[in-house]
Formats: sequence, C-alpha cells, structure tokens
Amino acid sequence: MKDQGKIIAETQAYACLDCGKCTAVCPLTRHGAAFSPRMLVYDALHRDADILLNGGGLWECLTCGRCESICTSGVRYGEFIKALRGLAHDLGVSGRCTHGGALQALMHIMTAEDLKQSRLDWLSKQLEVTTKSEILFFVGCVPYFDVFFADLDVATLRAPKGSIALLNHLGIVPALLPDERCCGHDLLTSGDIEGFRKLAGINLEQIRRSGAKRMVLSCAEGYYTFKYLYPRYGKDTGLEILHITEVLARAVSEGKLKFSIPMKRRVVFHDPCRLGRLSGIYDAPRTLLEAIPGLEVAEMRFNRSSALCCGTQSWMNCGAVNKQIQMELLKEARATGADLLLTACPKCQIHLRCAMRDEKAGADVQMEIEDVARFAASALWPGRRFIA
Amino acid sequence: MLPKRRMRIREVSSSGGFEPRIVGFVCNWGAYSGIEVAGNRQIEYPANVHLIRVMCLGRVHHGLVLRAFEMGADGVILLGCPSGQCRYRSGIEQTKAMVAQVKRMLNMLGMGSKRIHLVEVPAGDGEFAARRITAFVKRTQEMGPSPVKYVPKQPELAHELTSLLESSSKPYPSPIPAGTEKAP
Repeated sequence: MKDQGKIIAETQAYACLDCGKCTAVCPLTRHGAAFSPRMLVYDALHRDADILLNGGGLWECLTCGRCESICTSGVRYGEFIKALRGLAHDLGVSGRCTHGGALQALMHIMTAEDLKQSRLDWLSKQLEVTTKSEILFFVGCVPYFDVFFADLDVATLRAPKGSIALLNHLGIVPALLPDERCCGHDLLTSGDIEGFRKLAGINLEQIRRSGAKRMVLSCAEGYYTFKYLYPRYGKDTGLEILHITEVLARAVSEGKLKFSIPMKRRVVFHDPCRLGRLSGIYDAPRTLLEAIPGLEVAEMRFNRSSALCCGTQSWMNCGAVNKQIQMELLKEARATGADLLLTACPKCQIHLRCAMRDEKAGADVQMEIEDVARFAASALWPGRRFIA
Repeated sequence: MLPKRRMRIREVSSSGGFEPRIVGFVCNWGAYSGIEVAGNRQIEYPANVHLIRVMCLGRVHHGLVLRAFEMGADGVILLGCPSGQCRYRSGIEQTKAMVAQVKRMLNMLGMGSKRIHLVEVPAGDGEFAARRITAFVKRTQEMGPSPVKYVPKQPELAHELTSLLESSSKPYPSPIPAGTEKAP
C-alpha cells in the first residue's frame, strides 16, 4: 500500500504553488460544490490523513483533467486523486455509488475468471468480424449499458456497430474477443486498484492470445485506459492502441474514405475528457466530420482542452451540482445553433440523456446525441439499418 | 467493513450433491406472511435459501441483486405480492421490470437468466411459497455453481488498516521524501 508521502512525491503534488488556477477552472467548484482541487492538495500536504481520506471531497472530483491541463507546476492531479482514492479504499472508505452500486457489482462479477459471457449477440450478418486478425476491436461495456439504461433510450451499441461497418468499408475485418471484460477504468478511478488489476490481467491474457498487433476502440474511456493506464499499472498490452476516429481520420487524409452524399446539417462535437484532455486527440474527430460535404461543424465556447465535462465519473457521487454541469454543457451546445451533439464516449451520451430528462430541464437543453463514428457511418450510407 | 456473517447454510437436503447458496428477498406483506404460515405449519423447504425481509420488493434494485451474485450467490429468488396487491401500488411492477433487465444481463454474463426468479405469493399461502422455493433450489442445483467466487479481504489487510488508522491521526513528518524534489 502506498502511503500519502509517496503519493505526494510521485504525483508532484509538492510542487503546488497554491495559485488556485485549478480551482478557478474546476467545473465542480464553479457550480458551487464544496470541492476545490487546490484545497485537496493543501489538505494532503498540511493536514492529517483523516481529514483528507474521510472528507467527502475526495470522491467528488470528476477526474476530467481540466485542472491538470492548466496547472503550471505539473501536478499530476488525475494520478493524485486515483492514488488517494486507492489509499482510502484500502481503509474501507468509498464514494457513494450511484444506481445502487449495480455497475460496480457488474464490474466485480467480471473479475471472475470462470465467467463465459455471451456478449456478442448484437452482431448482425452485415458486420464482418472474425476471431483472429491483426486488428482487434474492443467493444467495451456498451452491451450492458444498453440493457441497464434502457429507460433512458440510450443506444450506445451504435458506436461499435458503426465503427465495425466503417472498418469493413476500409477493408479491415477486425477480431472481437467473445469474453472481453470491463477495461477496469471505473474500478481504478474509484480506488479499487486490486479489482482493476484483476480485470486488466484477464483482458491482457485474452489480447495476447488473440495475436493481434493493433487494437481499435470506439469508447474514449477504454482507449485512454488501454493506452495510458494499463502501462502505468504494469499491464502494457504491447499493442498499438487506436481510437476509431484516428483510424477514420487517417483514412480520410489518405483518400480511402470519401463521403459523397452531402448532408445539410449543423452539428457540434463535444470533446470527451478521456479522448481530449487526457489523450490529446482533438483533430481526428474534426478531420472526420469536415470530410462530410455540406456538414457544418460548430464549436462550443469551451472546446478542445477547455471543453466542459459531461459531469459524472465512475458511476459515483452524482447530484444536483453534476446536473448543473450537464445543463451548462447542453446549453452551450444548443447555443451554437446545432441540433445534434456528437461525442465519442458512451458515458457522455448516458449522462447527458439523463440530464435532459430532468423535470427541470427546459426545451433549451433538448437535443439529439450521437456517437461520432456511428454518425459518419450514417453519413456514408443514409438509411441503412444494420448500424441502427 | 468485513461482512460478519457470510452466506453460510446448514445443509439439510440429503441429495449429497452440490448445495447452492441462494439469497431470497421477501416482501414483508404477502410473501413473508406466507413464509410464516409455512413455519407455523411446519411445511419444509430447503435451507439453502437465505431470506432477507424487505418492506416491499420494489425496494430491491439491480444493485442488491447483482451484489448478491457478486458475493457468490448461486441464485436469487424474489418473493413478493401478486400484481395488483402491492401495498405501495407499484412495487411489484417495478420489480418485474428490474428482473427482466437483470435476466438480460445475466444472460450476457453467461450465468443464465434462470438464476433469478420472481414469485408472486398469494398472501399467507405458505404451501405455495415452500413449493416454489423448493423448485427453485432444485433448478439451481441442476444449473450448478455460479462461476463467480467471492474473495473476502485478506485478514492481514484488516490488521494493517487498524495500524494505519491509529497512525493517521499523527501528522506526517515531511511530505517530501529526500531526493525526490524536481523543478516543476
């Protein structure tokens, strides 16, 4: 178990200048939560562990990386939070699980090695996949999300469907793992490092056995986890990890992917934290969208590295403040004049759809939400149903 | 922190084979009165089922059911009131929707949707409740053990926790270990 001193040293929290830039940009603080990234660092440096680990603030952080992107001292805030939560978790302290802890239970069930899932029933005949290929497509938890969040009318499976259709169009037949597990991001972010390691271990073994050389994901969070968190926690896949928008943007610039049917529409792209700030991918989705003739891609007032967060993290601690953040994002998106919000993260879709259903939400926050890859697929083949 | 009483059963069935561990959520009104009648009349049912009494099955959400499976339950049985007889009007309907969702998730997990079972017990019908519990235990027995094993926390860790909690009230000597300073 790491101790607090070690965490402070490793995440460079000691370098904090107490300038408060982090708190100024933190979406939680701006919307009035009793949370301040600066104070949390202060508590870690100057106060005893009890206040730090048992205070509620530790679990509020959205891990959106906004503070880390502006910090002039290079404090690795995301790692700082994750490590402190790990410490708290080992002490038996945890955040408030939303949805009655169902999603956490699901993740823990997936750590069982003997599990034999049948999670690929959604595949249709039109989508070409195989069991052995150089390119692996990691689906992620979306099949479960679509069942669990059915009352929100979410269709997060559209993202892998659209992605696989587009990969097929580029001549790629990806391999799918029939028994892949949760990537473990949420367990790690909620401090359960042991649970994360278990999931990562099972995934890693399956990935190695598949013999793939590259892995493509349509989920921004999964992409970030495999690319950056797995190596950081000693579970490097050794594969080249690509987000579907990277593959598609490359295909566009190489002339392999051409959109011929014009689409008169104004859309806005929301940078998911995991894809944007935490992985540095801003251009790929925009390159892809700009290739669609007639399509107008609007930008929100806060975009790219200062993009707003979708308001909740790791199925924990969701409340009024989180709803306010989501409302702000939706209002910003509507203010661009677009009627369709595109994103690359299934959770952004779930959280924002949930916010729109709030009784207090007015007509000014209602808009369509769609995954960017699936949107590109529908631009290429309007009216084709297999990606629906 | 550590669950004091883990799921442990007295094995009464004489089959000699696999003894499933089953969690049963029982509605306080219709179903529990049935269970009580079964007890009073000495109607037997297997002791593999651990009954948890709740005020209404509507209170049992996905999280509780999935947590039972996470903790190694081989099956979950929900004993509630018949439709239209819920004391809180819509509790049983909510449970039906929840069970349908959990069934789909259990199928996806490869554990099988039959590991969860909802029974609408007519108020006070002990024989009916006992019969359905017995049938479910048998069904679970045939399905075999759940692939999920619950691994409780290591006892050494609990020890470590106490010492850490004791030391946490003291301030840390220096937050910066020597030699780790780096110019930002």
